[in-house]
Amino acid sequence: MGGGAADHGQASAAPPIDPAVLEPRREPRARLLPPRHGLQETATLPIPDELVAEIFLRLAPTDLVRASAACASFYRLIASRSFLRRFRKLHALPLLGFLDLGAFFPVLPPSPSASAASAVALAADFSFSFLPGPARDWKVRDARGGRVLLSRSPLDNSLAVCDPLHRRYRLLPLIPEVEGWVPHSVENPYRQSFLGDAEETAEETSFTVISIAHWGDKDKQGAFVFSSSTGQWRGTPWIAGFASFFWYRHAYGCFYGVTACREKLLVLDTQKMEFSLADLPPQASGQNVGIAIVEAGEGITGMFVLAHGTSHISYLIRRNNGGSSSQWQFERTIPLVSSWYSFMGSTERHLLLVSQGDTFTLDIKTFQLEKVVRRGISSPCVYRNFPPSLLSSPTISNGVDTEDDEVLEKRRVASSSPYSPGFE
Amino acid sequence: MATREAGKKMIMLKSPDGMEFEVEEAVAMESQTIRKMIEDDCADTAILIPNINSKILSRVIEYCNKHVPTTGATGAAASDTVAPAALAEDLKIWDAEFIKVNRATRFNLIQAASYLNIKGLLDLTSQTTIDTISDNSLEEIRSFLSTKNDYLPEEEQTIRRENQWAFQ
Repeated sequence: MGGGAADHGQASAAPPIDPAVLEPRREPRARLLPPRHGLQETATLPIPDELVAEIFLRLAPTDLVRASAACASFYRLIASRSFLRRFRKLHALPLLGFLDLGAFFPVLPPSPSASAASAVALAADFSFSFLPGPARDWKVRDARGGRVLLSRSPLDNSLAVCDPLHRRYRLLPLIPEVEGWVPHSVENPYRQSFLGDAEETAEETSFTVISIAHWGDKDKQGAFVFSSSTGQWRGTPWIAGFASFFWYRHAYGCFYGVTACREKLLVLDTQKMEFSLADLPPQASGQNVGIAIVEAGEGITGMFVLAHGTSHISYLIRRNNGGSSSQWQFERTIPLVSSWYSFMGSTERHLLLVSQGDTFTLDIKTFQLEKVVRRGISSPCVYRNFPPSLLSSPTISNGVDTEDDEVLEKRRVASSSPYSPGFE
Repeated sequence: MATREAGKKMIMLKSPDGMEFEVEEAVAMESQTIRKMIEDDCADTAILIPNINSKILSRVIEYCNKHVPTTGATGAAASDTVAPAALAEDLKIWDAEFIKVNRATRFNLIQAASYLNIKGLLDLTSQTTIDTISDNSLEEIRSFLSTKNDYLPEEEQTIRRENQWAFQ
């Protein structure tokens, strides 16, 4: 509060002296902050690049691209690797549309991303014709950070991660059969696969893929995580029980599912490759309750809860106290205009809701609800990316294996006999 | 409300034109640059801040004074009496008034905020500039940022064509 603000920060009445002459320090422990260029009257002089960069960093992507057209030095500044890295860190990727039923549905006006979305719809290949083999064999499983995860089913369960804007892809190796892991051959099709976070230290083109497989009469399950940096799968030992991970999301390297009886959260730590159980708050347990887990920033995990037939969303948070997590705390209620809303999924930045044939997003930071597509969607695959411009760089590194067709053909042939990957 | 208890640690900030500003340590620590100096034990009671004149420094301190209770450790005390939402709204109105300054002062504030690493002030000052950029034509952006169009006509055409969506 600023009630007492005026009491402080008053200047003592020393007469102004020439600012160019710095007074020697009198206090023995006073320190001088490191000097830099003097402030100048900037009304007519060009603004230093570092200041322009500070301003440009905060521009919306569309305005940044417009600013790059103002002059060549702005373009050079914006197109520089270091600036783009900082910009991408600071700005959430705009939500451009949905991948549903084999087609791309761009967001529409008045969404500020509508023109970028239609540019992407023109520039990208959402029919995935650049993937090896017949494109119709590939089914979209997930989308995240400009990448799309597809599986070739029912043929052989091959997984591929691609960048439809730059027409690049990477075919993942099959998950090896390892003692103690859930068997993962083609006879075991019960699998849910998702795109995970990029590893923290890794390149911008790195990604992870998480696959949860069920086994037996769906009473055992195990998880596999693929890292694009190592090119290998890691697996958890199988555990008893069954949990659904559909629509629930990850936060801080953990992936959340809900147990079959909807009593507990099943948490997969993708670093330690371990499952653990966590309590669900009372608001979130029971059937017919939609849950979404998000990163709320500063290590806080957020949970949105929407019970069927109610017209509000509850938002709960849980702080991470140095490894041990505290209880879920109720944070706020977000009112909805009707009780017809239901969760469709979540991204790093939005919740997806459908209501009476329209699709809405709820911004997890501002809690603003926005109608984005005038149709309902049946899959929660959200395409978020920077539009085609100097901002968008390939999200898959350019190491496409030219023998992918051959590899896939071999897998197709081998799919009747157990696959032996020669895993060490 | 927000009465400050006696015995709070004070810090003296000095501008190069010889003015001295006595502020609470918590207020000064709104600046990450100063916070680091204090935490690293590089500053005892006085810090000389070069190149930020008293006019700008006094405005920066004014900003920090206003913003310290909501972001600092004293936040709990303030929210006892005022709802957080009302407090945020009050700050927003205050910020809007605060930033009604001429262009030169605003750039000086951006520079000061960037140097002293005060995120809120940097966001506020930059955002005001951004609003100007967002609403204006390229010619106005150039004039506002004191730059000239040094593209060849073909180059500008190419950039506009490649990024057509941004100019709709």
